Amino acid sequence: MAKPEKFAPAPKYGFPADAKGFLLPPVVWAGFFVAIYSVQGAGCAAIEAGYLGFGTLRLLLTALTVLTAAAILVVGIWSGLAFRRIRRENAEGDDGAVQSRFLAEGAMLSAGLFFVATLWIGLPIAWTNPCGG
Amino acid sequence: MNDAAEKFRSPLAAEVVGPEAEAQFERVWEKPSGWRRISAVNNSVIGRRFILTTFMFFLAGGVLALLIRTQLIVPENDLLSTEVYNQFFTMHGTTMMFLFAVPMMEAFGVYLIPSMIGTRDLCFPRLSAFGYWCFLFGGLLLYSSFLIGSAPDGGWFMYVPLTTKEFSPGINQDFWLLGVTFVEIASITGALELIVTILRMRAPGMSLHRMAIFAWYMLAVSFMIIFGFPPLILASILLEAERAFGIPFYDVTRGGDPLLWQHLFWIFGHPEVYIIFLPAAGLVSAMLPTLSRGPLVGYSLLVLAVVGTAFLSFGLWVHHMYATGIPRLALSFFAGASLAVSIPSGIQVFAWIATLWEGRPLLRTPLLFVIGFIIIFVIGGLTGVMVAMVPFDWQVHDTYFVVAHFHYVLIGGMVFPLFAALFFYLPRATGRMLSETMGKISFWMLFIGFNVSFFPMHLTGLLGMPRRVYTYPAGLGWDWLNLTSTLGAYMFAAGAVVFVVNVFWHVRWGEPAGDNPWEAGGLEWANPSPIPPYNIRSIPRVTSYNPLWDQPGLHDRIESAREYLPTATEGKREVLATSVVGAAPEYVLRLPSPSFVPLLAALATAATFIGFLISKYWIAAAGAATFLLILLFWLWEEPHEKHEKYVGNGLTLPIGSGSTGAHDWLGCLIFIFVDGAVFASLVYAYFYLWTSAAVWPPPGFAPETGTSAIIVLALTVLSLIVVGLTHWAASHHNRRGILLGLFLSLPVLGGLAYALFAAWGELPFNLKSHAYGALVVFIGGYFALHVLLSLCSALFSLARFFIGGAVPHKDVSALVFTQLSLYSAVVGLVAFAVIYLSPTAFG
Repeated sequence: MAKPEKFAPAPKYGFPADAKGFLLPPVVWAGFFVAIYSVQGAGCAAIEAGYLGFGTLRLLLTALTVLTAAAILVVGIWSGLAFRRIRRENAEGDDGAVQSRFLAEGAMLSAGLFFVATLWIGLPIAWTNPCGG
Repeated sequence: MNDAAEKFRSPLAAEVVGPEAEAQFERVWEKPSGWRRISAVNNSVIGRRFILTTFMFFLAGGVLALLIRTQLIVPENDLLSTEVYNQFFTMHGTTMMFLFAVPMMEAFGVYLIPSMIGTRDLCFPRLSAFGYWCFLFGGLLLYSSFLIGSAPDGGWFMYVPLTTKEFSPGINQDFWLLGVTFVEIASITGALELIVTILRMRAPGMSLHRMAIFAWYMLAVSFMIIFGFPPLILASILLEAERAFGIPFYDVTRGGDPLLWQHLFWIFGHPEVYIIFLPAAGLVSAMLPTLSRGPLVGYSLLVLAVVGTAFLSFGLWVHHMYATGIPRLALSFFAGASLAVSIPSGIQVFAWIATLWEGRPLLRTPLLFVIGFIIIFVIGGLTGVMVAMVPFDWQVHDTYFVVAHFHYVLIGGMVFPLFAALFFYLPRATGRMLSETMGKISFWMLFIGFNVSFFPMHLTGLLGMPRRVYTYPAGLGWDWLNLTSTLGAYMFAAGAVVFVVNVFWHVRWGEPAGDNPWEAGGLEWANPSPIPPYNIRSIPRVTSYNPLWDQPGLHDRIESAREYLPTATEGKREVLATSVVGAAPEYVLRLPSPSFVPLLAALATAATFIGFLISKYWIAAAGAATFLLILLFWLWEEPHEKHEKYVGNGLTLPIGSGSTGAHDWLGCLIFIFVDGAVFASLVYAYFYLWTSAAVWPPPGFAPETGTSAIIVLALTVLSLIVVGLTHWAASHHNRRGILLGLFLSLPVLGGLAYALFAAWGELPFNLKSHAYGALVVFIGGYFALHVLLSLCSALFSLARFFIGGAVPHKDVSALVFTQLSLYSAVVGLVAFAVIYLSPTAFG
């Protein structure tokens, strides 16, 4: 009987060079999108009922955008550093390391995409009436 | 094979499969013949059936389009009456979206994915067969409406209030609501098993970074279907409930809101555009390396683009609703997301161009279609960016400009890649090549015909011609543009006819294709053509993205059964289950043989839908009960005759798995995602109507937190404790603990069901009087339904252990029960918070 082949069942490195890190930027962005849409809707209802002012709502929406963009940026930088480290520390043939490198690169790239998406969505808060038709 | 990867490869054993074992292997996997062929469950058979049926619907939808265009060829035409025109354009859109574009792309997934990832079938073959029958019966149900002259006529978007009973009293819209929901079952079942197959059945070594690119696309799209389709299913159920029983959800006079339909419809509808486009783009990415004789440029970037598009597409739905009076800031969120989604689309286009640039393109028919696709899709993408901008959209909203835009995106983005893929992959199915001459003729007719037909519509739209009008007056500058569009449509249709002739011609007279006619590098070509029912003779170790190019001799080793699972000595269909990221072999997964069960289950489902359609609810109830019985029979499995087996190349693996993460556990989890998306949509509907209502809840409607409600809450929390105990026992394969947990759950869940029934009796309102009450009952009822499902699951699991001889480390029924019960408890807690706490917390 032949000797069993060896496999790397999972990435060699942990977060953010794993599947969770890879999916984190889009998941954070999705949470942000749901939150900003809900806060804007609920905020306008609260303004109409007299519980909230326009300035407060704008501040809330801006804070949400800035926090999200910062969180995504941190993941992006962290995974970028992980990507460089994995490339430096491993020879070409280590399959677990190659998996980690791919996932770290994916996390870094998706952080870039969703950072831009967050800014594009959040920028109009600066000059648009939060509840105007 | 690249040198680095080769280091991980142990020497292969010289294990030779004898003629007897070879014959048995063929026998185990052979397709049934004659009339029994309808019991086939192999992905290759189901995939081909799916592709053929969807293509027939494409032709039917195309005929409707030609009739629409003929009606519009001249002003004041009276070829079609208003009523018939409305039915034709509704059924054209419905056919193309629900019966052609989405199922065709899923059909390609069903047909190609197993061989692309180096396995023999999908993980739930009977589910694919069930999905196909649901699709066929649902499609036939929709088209049967023509026989009684009552085809749906409210547009493919079915906007309320036009489609409510008051304005559409006939059965037309019921055909749509029930038929489309029936068809969507197929989309969801297909998505579920594609996800599990891609995550758990890839060939050993095919880790995520070397997974076939089309599998990445289908994985993302399948998740989009899982989360995108449930909102429409819910919206359709609510509308049908309003039409059939008068339960208000969209009726403004009783607290409803027509815009709720638009939100739920487009939460589904916009991702659907990408659900259609992405698989087609995936086929392009899969074919391009072969057609350009070089590697795919930017694999990681393409993966990013696919995942990015999948997420971003859920943030775009309101860009179909810019003209509905939503506050400008909210519109700008969706405009921002609409602009952001152009980034991943751009990445893909540049990756394809770079792949062509770097390679030595083979200018055959499939590449012509790919180039045609890139040109048309880029034009459609540019007009997409234009309509993503709110002020521009307000100018062209509901005009022919939008018709031009989405046909550029959908025909360019899906139909052209489809023709490319049919030219590319048909030889694999039939063993013969299509005619290049006819192929080029059909390409140019389709390409020129398409542009002649649809480009003028941009101008017609800018000149103010509205969509969905059955005729128009002369002298508005629209006459010659409409004439040109119609002539282009005829040319496009003629191109499709040439393609159909080519298909018939090649089956008999086409040149023999051989094993790998395009000299491709993907595993889907590692078999003889026509493709055998088992897809791949032995399951290979993969060490490269293009295994047939980079692993010399792999094709021969696969064919001579020298890779994994070369025999079927126990007379069972077997594949390997591998780990999610690294694709390391974990266990042997046994697949079912041909079966009539899926067909019977689909017939029972059809009876349920038809019962609702004709308002004979006893037929619907009988259909549902029959389906449940069939389902129990379906899920019942005999224990394996042994616990492990030698799979070749020095490796011995367990047969089946009873652990968390096993393929059937994962399948149940994905089902819960679907279910959760329906429930989330229901909760969304509750809060949406709250924001648009003057008073919520209406005076006298708020339910009191009485004794029954407290008992419901207490039993829900208790069920969580019992579920926790059962889950611990099941995870540790502890039989006694499992049985104890299951037995304890019976009175808890039974009591919970009773308490819910009592709480329902205490509600201070009539179900039909206000949307608030209707939603409260639906949310509570949803919880009650899941309590009953959990109860059934507990009884089933107990039966598995007592009668079925199940052993804890091989049977996931207890883990499935804990998954379902945990989810039910979460639904219960959310429902409690929404019904009893939210009115006081936010009121």
